Amino acid sequence: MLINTVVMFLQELLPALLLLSTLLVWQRRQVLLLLQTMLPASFVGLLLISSQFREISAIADGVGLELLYISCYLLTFLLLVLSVARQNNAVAAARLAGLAIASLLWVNGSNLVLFLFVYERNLFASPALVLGATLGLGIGLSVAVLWYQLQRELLRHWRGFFQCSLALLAARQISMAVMLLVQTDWLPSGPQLWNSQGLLSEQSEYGHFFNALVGYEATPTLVQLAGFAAGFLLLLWQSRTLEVQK
Amino acid sequence: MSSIRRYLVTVLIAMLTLTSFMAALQSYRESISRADQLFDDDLKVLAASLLQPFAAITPDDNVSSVVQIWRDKELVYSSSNAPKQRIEAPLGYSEQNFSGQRWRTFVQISTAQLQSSAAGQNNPKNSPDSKPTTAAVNQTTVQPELRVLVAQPLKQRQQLADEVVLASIYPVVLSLPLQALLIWLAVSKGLSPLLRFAEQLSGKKADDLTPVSLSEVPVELSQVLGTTNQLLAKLADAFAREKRFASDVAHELRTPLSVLQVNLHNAIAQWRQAGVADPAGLMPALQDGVQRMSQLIEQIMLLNRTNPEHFKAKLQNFDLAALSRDVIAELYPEILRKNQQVELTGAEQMSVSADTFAMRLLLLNLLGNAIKYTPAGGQIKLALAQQTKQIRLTVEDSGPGIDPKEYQRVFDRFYRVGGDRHQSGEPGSGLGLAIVKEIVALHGGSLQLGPSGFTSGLKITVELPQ
Repeated sequence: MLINTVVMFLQELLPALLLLSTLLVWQRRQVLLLLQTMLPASFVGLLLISSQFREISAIADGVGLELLYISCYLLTFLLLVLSVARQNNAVAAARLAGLAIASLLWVNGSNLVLFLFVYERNLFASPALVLGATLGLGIGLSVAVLWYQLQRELLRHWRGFFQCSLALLAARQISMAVMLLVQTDWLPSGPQLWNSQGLLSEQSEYGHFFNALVGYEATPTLVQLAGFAAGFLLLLWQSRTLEVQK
Repeated sequence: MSSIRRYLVTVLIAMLTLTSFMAALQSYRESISRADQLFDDDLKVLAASLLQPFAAITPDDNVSSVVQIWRDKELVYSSSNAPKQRIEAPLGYSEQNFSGQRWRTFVQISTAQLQSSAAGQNNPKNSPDSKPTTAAVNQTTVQPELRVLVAQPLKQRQQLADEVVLASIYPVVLSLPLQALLIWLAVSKGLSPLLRFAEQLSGKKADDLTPVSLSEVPVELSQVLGTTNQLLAKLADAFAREKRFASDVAHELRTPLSVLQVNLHNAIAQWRQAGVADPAGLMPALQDGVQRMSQLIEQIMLLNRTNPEHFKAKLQNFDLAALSRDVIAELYPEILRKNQQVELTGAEQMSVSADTFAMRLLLLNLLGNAIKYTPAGGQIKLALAQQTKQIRLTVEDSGPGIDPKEYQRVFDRFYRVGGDRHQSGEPGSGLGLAIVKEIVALHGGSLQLGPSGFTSGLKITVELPQ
């Protein structure tokens, strides 16, 4: 139970926290604006999704939640592209960045809500669950803080680091959307490219970190990799003139 | 604006949280793994003991737990590692010795009740000691006692406890060096603006009063940096004013003093022509005063010019022996007037790398002082010596010399031994040796005072690196 909870929290929170810490490096002067956009949007979206779980799940022959998640991942990517495109308008860029994190939190937050309140009805009766949630949250926040500081330090030596980092995180959303599209048979899976499960397990802490960062899959398919590469190159090109605020 | 405190607090908390939580997770996994092993062993024992019919040998010999099941005195089941004889132990939990080690045992006894149509009939497992009663038909009979003993080696329990505890502690202990490394990195990074600030300050040259600039100034350092830069700016202004003031004053005074000297000379000449008497002898005293003031102004200008903070030495090779001869020739009228003997020793030619103007001034001051304070008929010696990495220039005289207690002070500006009541009665500004000291400092050399080789007098040794 403890391990499951930790894994669940890491899996669901780390992607949003890493995206948040990366965007905070960019939007250092608009932190408040970004948070003011992100927090209400996340809360309202989560509330709506959580209250309509059954109805959403029943859509499209039972793959409604998957379709919602695919939409959220694609929306996150789109908002990131728009945010970068509006880089000259600091307010708009910060608001779009805040919405991008919120849309990602709709996916990850929904999964957490499902785990905590649907599968585990005795939420606070289980010390292992509370401890697991604390450990998962603590590890996730710590990784996000260190990732933020590491990015700032690396920016001193390599100005293009932030663009690469943001492009990786954005491409990860495409990769996740493609994976769900394959799962729901909306896309052909294509051949499996490799199997690195033995090298880096998806279920390990590092596996979760790399999944949150670049959408790491131990057994990626061609279509998934193509989606990732396309997303990465698009955002990298879009952010070529991006100036990180100091 | 960044903050060192915020950076250190957030990064250290994040690092400690991450390493501690990861260590805790690892401990949990390891402990669960060890506990699983024990439970798996128990499963094996249980499975083996439930095999039908009871087998004397369990399928897996690796299990350390011991099981014995006795029906009265008949051994109906024994695990492979159990002794052949009956293990005596009280009911419930206890600790016993057998098979060469100490065991934790648990004994449970059950009494099975069977319905039988006739006493002792159709009951092949009855013990020989059982005696059916006469009214046993269609009555409930008490079956023989079934005694189950399960034992585990205490050593194994201790080992398991150790393994679980060690599994919990190891990740924490192993994470300590990592934590130490991360803390060191974070603190070094956090304090790097201070280090850069200190490096910039210590790397500044004496005449570099430009503001210190840092690429990223943390909030804790901004006030210190601002104040330091303000002080540097004030200091630069003060130096510039001082430099301009000394130079401007000297220049401004020199012209009127020259006019005063000329007019005074003309006035004395006219008075003499007109036969005007000067019974108190005030005019020569006035002339001496004006002369002394002119010399003082010249010295101030030279001192200002040779100040290492303002003066940039132009090092060039020249013949120091020739320069010395020139200076002696320049001062020769005074030497002749006092009937002194001057000796120049050393090589005929001595090539040195130094500033010509500054070295000429140094020789003029050293020899001028020696001439001035050596009484008439005295001796002066100038010695030049070329050494491996330096040149040595020595000026000795047979004057009254200086008390060794005064050696350090004579280099102070405007300081004269004995003050205004200088024993020699010679006019002086007290700047000559201060100028010499600055010229030596300008060339990175050293200066020493000591008694001369004559019966009395002063010896000044100058060493300049080459």
